[in-house]
Amino acid sequence: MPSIFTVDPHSGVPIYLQLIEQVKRSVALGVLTPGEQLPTVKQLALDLTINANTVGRVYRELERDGVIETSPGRGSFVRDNGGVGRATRAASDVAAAALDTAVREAKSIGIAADDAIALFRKALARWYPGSHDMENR
Amino acid sequence: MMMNEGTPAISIDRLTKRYGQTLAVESLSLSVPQGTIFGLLGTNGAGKTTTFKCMLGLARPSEGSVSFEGRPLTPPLFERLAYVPEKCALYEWMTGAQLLEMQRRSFSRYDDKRANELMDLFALDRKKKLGKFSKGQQTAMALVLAFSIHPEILVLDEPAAGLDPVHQRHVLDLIIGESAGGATVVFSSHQIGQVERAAERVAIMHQGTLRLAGEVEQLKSDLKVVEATFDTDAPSLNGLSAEPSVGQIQRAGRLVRVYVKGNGDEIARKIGDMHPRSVRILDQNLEDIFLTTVGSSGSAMAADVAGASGR
Amino acid sequence: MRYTQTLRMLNGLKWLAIVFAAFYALVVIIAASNGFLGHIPHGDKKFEIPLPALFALAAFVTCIFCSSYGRTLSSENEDHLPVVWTRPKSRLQTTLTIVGVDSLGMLAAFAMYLLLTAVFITTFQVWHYVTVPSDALAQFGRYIVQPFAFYALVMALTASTGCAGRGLVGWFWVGAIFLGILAASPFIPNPWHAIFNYVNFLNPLAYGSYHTTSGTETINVMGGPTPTYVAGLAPVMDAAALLILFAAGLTLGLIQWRRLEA
Repeated sequence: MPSIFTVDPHSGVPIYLQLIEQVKRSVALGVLTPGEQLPTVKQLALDLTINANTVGRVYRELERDGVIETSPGRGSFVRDNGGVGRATRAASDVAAAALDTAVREAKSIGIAADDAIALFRKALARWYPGSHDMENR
Repeated sequence: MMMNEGTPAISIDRLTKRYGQTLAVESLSLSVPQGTIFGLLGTNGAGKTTTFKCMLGLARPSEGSVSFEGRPLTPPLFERLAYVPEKCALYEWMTGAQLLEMQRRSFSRYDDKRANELMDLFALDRKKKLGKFSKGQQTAMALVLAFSIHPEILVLDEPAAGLDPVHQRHVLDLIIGESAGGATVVFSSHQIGQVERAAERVAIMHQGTLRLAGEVEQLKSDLKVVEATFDTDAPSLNGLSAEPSVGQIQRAGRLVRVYVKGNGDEIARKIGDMHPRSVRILDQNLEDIFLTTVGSSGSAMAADVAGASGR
Repeated sequence: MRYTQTLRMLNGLKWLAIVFAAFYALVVIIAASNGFLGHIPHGDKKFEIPLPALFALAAFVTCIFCSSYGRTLSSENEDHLPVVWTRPKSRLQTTLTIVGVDSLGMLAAFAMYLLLTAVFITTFQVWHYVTVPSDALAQFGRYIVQPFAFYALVMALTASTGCAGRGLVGWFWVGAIFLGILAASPFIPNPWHAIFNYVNFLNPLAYGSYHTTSGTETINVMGGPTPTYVAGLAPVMDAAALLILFAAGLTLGLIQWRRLEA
């Protein structure tokens, strides 16, 4: 079975961070639904050909963040109590990380804060065409 | 039988190996925690193979010592230790089946079912003599023998050399599978991508000495490059070199790169105060880290990190 | 390493059997084409084949054969040490296993040569020439140990070498034969002659000469007309000396093997 996750080990971003981000994204997008079982640590390690201890770390951090729960002997599952809330929170984590990268990139090439805001509004207008906020301006 | 969790599977203490006047390994200290995959990186002649030989008693250390699970190496340990040397050491005149039989008679943990699965995985002919195998097949045969005894400690010197990409991936899968089952794996490879995937910890050797050691993910998080461009020639950043987190500083006209330990935010902010045109923080993958470490300079910072995350 | 060494040993014996069979076939064909088969003349009553002479030949042939066995430690040093030394056996255990297996091989080679001789004797119907002197058993003792001493000295000589050991075995043969000739030669002036004689104590081939007189006939095997100083000893003493060489060779070989690095 092909894994729903992919990582780029050759990136400078630690693999565990990539994987945590992907699991959160999958939960946010509903690719992983509350109560769904995740592959075992060993299975996911073999599927992705990455170190099993790295996968173990990912699961531990996801559990700490309340995204999944692990019961010994049964495996790891996407949490379902308050699952919708979790998914929303996971979604905002993903979006926040993407925005952060964009803003950092803008700043690094010398875009002033005001110009960055203007760019942000432009992007909003494009992707949220019906938004009230946009029509007011 | 259960080991104290803290006891490293392998620990190398100030190992030095001289061949006549040549210093092959100098005062190398490393420890490999149980159940981890440990990648040893280095250019040719960095001392990796010598280190392995000294570890396994194939060569006598000139100074220093090696211990396994806190004890010196004795023959019974080889019952659960497998070594695949860089150069195939198997007998050319023996067939695949005979080599398996040799393994079966030497190791009580030998698993015939596993061995046969592995023979099929690497598409090896049991009836063929080893001398008739290609270089890659000989390496694969050595790997089959190694993995057929369910080793608890695996020492692999360039295990994927000469293998095609599919079989290389099999080797990584085997390493990851054994490690997930609790085995400790130490391997060297020129293919940094393999180490980056599989290894939890790495050590980078250069010219016989340890230049950097630590967890791969930690090194990636901790080693960044702050790159800035200026409208005119880049200013002197001599003030920065005093910062403890700053390693090498490269300047080329309007561009400056600062290798830093830590997330780089603070250095980026400091450079930002010098009115650059742009400032970016670049991630470093293992290859970047390796090249920086074995490069002509800039190893001071690397050694510092090694000290911090060593044991 | 018992399995590997057994395969290697049997492989050697297989080749020896092939060589013996080819030799037998060649001799029989040549003899038959000259009309000799089964027709060796009976007239000369003084002709005899003392049994120890056959042992002496068997020992010599076995020495040739075990030149390759003796080099086992050295041939492991042709890149195989990482395999041999990463098994759950000490180097001492490994060496003893190898020596044990090779010993069986040497005994088998010795027996195979005697068998070949028996087949020849039967083929040419000359059993009645074979005599059994009173010291036959003691002589057998000496000749059965001789290849072991040779084997151990080859091991001592080559244990710390790799493929260079092959050449060393060749030189060992040249040296041993040459030393035997020097020690036996009556033309060498005395201080030297005595020295060669003493050094010849270390030469396993020197213990192989057999000579006996029966009536007016003198029979010499592996020694030349002048018996060497060493061969002048009683067969039991020779056997004891050969055993000492065997033990010393093994010890020297083992010491080198334990100090060796891959």
